[in-house]
Amino acid sequence: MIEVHNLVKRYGVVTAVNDLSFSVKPGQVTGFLGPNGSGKSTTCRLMVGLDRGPGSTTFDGKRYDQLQAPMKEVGLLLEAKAFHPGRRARDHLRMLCAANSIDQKRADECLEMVGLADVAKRRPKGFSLGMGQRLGLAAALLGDPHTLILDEPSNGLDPQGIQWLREFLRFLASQGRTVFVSSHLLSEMQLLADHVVVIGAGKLLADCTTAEFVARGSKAWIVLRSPSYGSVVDVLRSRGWSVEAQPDGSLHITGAELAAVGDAAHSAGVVIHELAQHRSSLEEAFIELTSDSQQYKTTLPGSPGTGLGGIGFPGLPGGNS
Amino acid sequence: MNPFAYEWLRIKTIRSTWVMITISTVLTLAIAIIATLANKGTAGNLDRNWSDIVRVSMTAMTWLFGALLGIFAFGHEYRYGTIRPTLSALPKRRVAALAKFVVPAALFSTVTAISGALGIICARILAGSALTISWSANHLIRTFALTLLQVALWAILGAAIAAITRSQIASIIGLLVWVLLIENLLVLLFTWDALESVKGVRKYLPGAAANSMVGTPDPDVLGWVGGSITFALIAIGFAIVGTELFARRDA
Repeated sequence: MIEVHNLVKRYGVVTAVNDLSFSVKPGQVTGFLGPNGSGKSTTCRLMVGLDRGPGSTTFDGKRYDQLQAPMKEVGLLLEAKAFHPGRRARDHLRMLCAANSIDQKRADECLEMVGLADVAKRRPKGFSLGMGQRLGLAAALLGDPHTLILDEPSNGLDPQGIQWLREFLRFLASQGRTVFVSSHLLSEMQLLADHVVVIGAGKLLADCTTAEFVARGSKAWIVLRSPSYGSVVDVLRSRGWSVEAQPDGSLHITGAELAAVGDAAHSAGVVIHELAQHRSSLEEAFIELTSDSQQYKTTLPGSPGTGLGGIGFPGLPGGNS
Repeated sequence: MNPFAYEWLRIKTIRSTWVMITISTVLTLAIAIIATLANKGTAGNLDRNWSDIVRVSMTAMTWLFGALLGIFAFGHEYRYGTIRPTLSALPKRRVAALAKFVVPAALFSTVTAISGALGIICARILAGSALTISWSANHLIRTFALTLLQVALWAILGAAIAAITRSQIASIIGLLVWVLLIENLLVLLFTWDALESVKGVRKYLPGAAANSMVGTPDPDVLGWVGGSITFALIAIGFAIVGTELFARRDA
């Protein structure tokens, strides 16, 4: 169980983390989400005392620096490629083992676990980002900890690696461990996280289950497609539902249940080619929630202020095709 | 937690450590051989000749390599971003810092002792009966012991500078510029009549104090006791400042 209390981090006049409190429960994967510059990595570093600032974080009641052998209790992956390029991968792990009285054999076991056994004796100078992440994961797992804090662990991993990581983290959570993962890959987090902590501009925006988060920001609608709508629009509206015709020829109905729309269409004698429930994804819910706290706002070519007024791209709003 | 085991593994698993040890040992042996050949056939106090061979061969370059090894203890961590894994494994920062001062100092003192001993053996073989070793001679043993202490203090000072600057390059440049340039300029300045009243300060500069630990007696420099105390205070003072900054700053 991780308990985070009132973390604050200021860099001059900028407040990167602003009185942040939340808790991370064992037995589930907790996703840590936020736009770029929202303070996710800073929060992770504050939690384990790597960055200094007011507030406190406890791991089963103890601060990180009070743990006797911290790697046996909390596994950390805070940065890809945080290793000396000239030190062999195995030596990097053995060195960390020595710090926490972990059996040196564990280095080879963890390298095997993350798929780096073949390069154990290689110097990581030429490691790719993905290989660096795997080595960092191996380091996090050395002490077989009950808590994991992973900052963007899937960065640079190939699809197989991402799938392995997802299954592995879910397995660890199923064993009752506490897994706290920050990520930008929202579709991945939707598959992985049971619970989400969302921050924007250093402040807590949401702390709830993933399902609740999606539902909270969710725009649910029903898509109805038919070769001939006849009187169905009137029938649907007569039941108090909102109906919008879409450019692709379908209807979007909100405020209704799927079965009820099907029944109404049937009563109107309409042939149905498509009838489906749609909900916003975690990504859409996330974008909606964090739109005001985004630090690095972007524009599309052709939009006002970009100086690229004449340029457009096929398929984009305002495009020239 | 075992910060000393960690630091020992950290230091021994990178090539730069062994490169520096090799170069330092080769230079020590080379200087011992050259000094022996230069002293061969010299009349006078034989113990003094031996003492000079030991002093010159062991201190000519080892101070620099000791300081570099110390600088690397912190410098590598910041240069390659390994400070975060290190402090994740060893969150008690003052203890981690202590290991970073002690391990390079102990390692390079040991290396200096071995290379110095090898230098003496080489010199003995080369000199034959022209020189005799008298280990009971106070100044010879003292020179040997103080050289090891001096190297250890240079390693501690180097590590402290890197802990303060958090930059390997800045630390190396700063150390070299101070010892080779600024301190010599200050000594020159102190020869001016206008600075006569403060010229005694030059004895207490780090390089001068370190040299006087193993140097020949000179009224313008501190004796070996004063030099040892002064240089130890300078190194420890820097180490305390470096440790406190290391403990308080973001990793």
